[in-house]
Amino acid sequence: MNEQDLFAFDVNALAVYLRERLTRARLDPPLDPRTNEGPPAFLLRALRHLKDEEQAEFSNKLCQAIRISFGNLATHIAEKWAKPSGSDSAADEWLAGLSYLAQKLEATSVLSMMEVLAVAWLGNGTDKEPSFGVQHLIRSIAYMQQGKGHEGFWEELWAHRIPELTPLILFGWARCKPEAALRQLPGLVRAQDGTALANLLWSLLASGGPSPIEVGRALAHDAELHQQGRLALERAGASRDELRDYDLPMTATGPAAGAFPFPPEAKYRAQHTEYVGWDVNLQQVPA
Amino acid sequence: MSSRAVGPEKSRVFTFYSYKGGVGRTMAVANLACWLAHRHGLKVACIDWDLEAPGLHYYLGWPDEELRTRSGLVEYLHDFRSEVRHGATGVAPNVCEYLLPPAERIAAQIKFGEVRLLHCGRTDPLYLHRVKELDWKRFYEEEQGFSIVQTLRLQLLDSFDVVLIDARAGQADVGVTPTVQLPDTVVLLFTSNRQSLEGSIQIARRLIAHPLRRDQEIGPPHLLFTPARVFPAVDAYATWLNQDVRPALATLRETGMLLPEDISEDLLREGLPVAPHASVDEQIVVFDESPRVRELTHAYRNLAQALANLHQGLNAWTMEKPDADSERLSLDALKKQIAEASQRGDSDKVAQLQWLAGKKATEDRRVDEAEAFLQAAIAFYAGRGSAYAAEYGFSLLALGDLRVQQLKEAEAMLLYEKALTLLRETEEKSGQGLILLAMGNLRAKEGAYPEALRLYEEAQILLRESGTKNGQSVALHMMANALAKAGHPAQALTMYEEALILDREQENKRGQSAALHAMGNLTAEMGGNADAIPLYEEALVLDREMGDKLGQGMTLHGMGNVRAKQGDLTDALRLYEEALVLKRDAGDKRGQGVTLHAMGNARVQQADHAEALRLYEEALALKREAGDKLGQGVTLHEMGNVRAQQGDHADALRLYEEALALDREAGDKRGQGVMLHAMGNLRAQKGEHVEALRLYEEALALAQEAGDQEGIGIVSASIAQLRSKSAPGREQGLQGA
Repeated sequence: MNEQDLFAFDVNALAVYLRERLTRARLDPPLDPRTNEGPPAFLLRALRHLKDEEQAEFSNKLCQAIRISFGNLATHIAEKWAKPSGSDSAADEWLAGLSYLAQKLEATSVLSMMEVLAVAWLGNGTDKEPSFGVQHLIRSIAYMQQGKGHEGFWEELWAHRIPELTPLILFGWARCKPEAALRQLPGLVRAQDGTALANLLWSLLASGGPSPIEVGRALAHDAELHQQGRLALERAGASRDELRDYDLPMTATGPAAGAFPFPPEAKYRAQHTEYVGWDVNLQQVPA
Repeated sequence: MSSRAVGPEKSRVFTFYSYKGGVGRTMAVANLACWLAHRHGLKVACIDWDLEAPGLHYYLGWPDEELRTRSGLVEYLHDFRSEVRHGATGVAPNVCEYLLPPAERIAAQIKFGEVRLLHCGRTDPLYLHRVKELDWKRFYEEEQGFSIVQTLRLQLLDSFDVVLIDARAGQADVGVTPTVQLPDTVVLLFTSNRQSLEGSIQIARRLIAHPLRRDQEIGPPHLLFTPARVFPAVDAYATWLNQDVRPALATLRETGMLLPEDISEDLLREGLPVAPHASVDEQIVVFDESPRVRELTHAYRNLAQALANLHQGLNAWTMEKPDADSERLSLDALKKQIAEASQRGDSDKVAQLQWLAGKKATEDRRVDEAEAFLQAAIAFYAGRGSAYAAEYGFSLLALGDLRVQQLKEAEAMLLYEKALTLLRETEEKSGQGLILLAMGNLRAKEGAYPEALRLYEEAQILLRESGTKNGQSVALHMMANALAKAGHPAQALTMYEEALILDREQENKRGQSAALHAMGNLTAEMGGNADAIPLYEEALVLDREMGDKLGQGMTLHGMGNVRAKQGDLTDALRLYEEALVLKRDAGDKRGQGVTLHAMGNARVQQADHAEALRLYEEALALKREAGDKLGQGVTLHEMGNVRAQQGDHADALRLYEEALALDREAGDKRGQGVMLHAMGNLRAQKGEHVEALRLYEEALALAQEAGDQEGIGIVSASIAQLRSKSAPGREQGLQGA
């Protein structure tokens, strides 16, 4: 099948094609962990070849097909999740592929369906390790969410304390309401160390998440925690500039500060300096 | 000025502040940095401290996208804070590692000095977050911000001559560091409206009384008010300056922190004008002399000159008129200054001082030294391109003057012409005027008065256009002098009267006295002897006031001439004697010669030929000592006349020939004409009519060449007389003989 055949499909035919295409895991892995590129890439590439108006039309058709697919998938997968040992690798690939595609196409009309699916998983499958599909579902929600309306969703996820999903949930929550998510950080840093902490902080700083400055500020009140966070970031491969940003919120005070080797002229009377901002001193200045 | 004692002696850190934005502050900083480097050879660091709306980097050729990963000021301050946290093991970051050079297209234009930019910081999406993390209150109160900023200042001044800071507009806390703590001088840019002016005055008051500097005992910064984005050419601008700006600034004068008016007044008057062509895109216009931006370019250059002067030190702000100050210095003092500047490595200053020393040495007739100084200055300026064209031109002018003194007129003329071409490129009108005056003098010296007058007139127009009143008066004096010599006493008199008015306006006593003296001479020459005396007397009063013995001597000599013409030879001789004593006191050998010559003339009138010859001999010896060839010619002429009267025609002819040779040497065509005429007279008396006619005709040609109308008349009359004496038949025979 070539691109022209694909463009000629109606919505239902597209939905069928998606299911077939996304679940042929063995031949065509939907999400190759090495490249992060799966069958949706074929669709996305095809989309890019279209002219603007054709692109919009096909994209619209594709979003509707994804919506239909999520509906079909929900019925199918919810049953599997309800069973104690139920798992369906093909359905999981289908979920992962649809989630990925929805995010890439910014199909916000399916966002609520995706959230429903995630909540359904919470209700049934949290005793099991979250599957690849579930991870992609949550990652896509984290990226696709707009505004603060999803705060409740993340709080709900957080409340379930799923260790494998902690970095991902923290990332989604921080994108939605950073101050709430970053408040959890000191506790997390105390509880974790090594690679886990590095992964956690690194996923937090991933594209579009809180800035290194905000992460640094969340830990700045405790020099020891801040230092632990810094080491974790170094371990995660943070750049010099990112580390510098992480350090910014730390105040330059402390028992050793007075001993800094300033050149003698620079230290001149500095210990007596009081803050001298414009606003503070307006009264002291003759008109 | 007592409060200045607490301020910085030399200004090296200049902060550019404006109460409102949009005044062209950033553009001014960028352009001044480039010019201070290129023209003044300084190492200049410029800092973009407008952290919330940075933009200096654009002017120096760095777009935002190229700074995303390049650390700047914000990172420096944060890094420093971070190091301070490490206490004794911390190391202050080196600001030089955060500096950027200008982009290649800008750097290529900066031939000397150096410009470096401390840009705002990494312009990635987190830039503003990093700025917000600089909590200035905490920075100063808890993080030793004062010491951090002082260290920044020390580091910059270790590596750079001058630091220019583009500060944020308004009164934000972020402005405390750049406007209060760092600067030695704050340049306040304000536009022509009340809000901007009053805001700036208010800020200036706060700066002066700011507790930070008071507590740290570093004294308030100096203040330099500069109007920006103005139209100085419209009348309303001058009115605004008079009615609003000057009174407002006067209220700050008492603080002692305003720069003296002699430097600030010019900047006020000119301002930084609006240049529509320069307002598109971020431009460095200071190298551009095209008419579309010329006014702004010149305004930037003037402001840069002021900053460079302030960088040299407080007393250097009089250097805006380097001639006025340094020219009063002796040659030795100048040499000392040259050595000092050389030690500092300030090659620009060295060249400027060498030029002045060359001029001074020329004045003092120390020819070899003058040559060495001027050649050194010329070598410096010659290799520096159009930016130094004016200095190059002025140095060539000075060398030309030296050549004139060495009697190498042709060489002088070539130097003047080259200097003129250079100054025409720079549109430096007063300089062009001075060169044309010097060229006119050379022509006048040759006796080519019409050509001299043309040059003087051109000079006078240029000097008037450039507003150089002193120069205008000099030009008028010279024109009058040339007119008098060319035989137009009435026109010369009018010209002197004009010069006198200008000299009186400027209270230039020397000029007044010279004009009055010359007017006395001319009036007497035109037969108005009685009218000449009051003019001389007025000149004498001025000469006495100035203690000018030479002037007094010359005036008394003129009065003696008048008395002699009036027939009172005894009084004339008394006045000459008096003049002689004064000239002797003044050491003027040539002048003494002239007076002794006049005394000889008076003796001739008294028929005391022996005494006359003795006086002439004495005059001749003095003129010889003074190297006055023209004067020697005149005296030899008179001696010849006396000898002729005594009947010794051979000796008379010898003397005339000697005089003629001297006139030829001096290039005095009028003098040569006179001499040939006198020789013709002798021949005619002896009946050698053909030889006499040949001499007369030669004399006529020279008089015509020199434009000497009087001479043409006299010689023509002599020729006619000779022809009438010769019968047509005899003429043929005579010619045959």
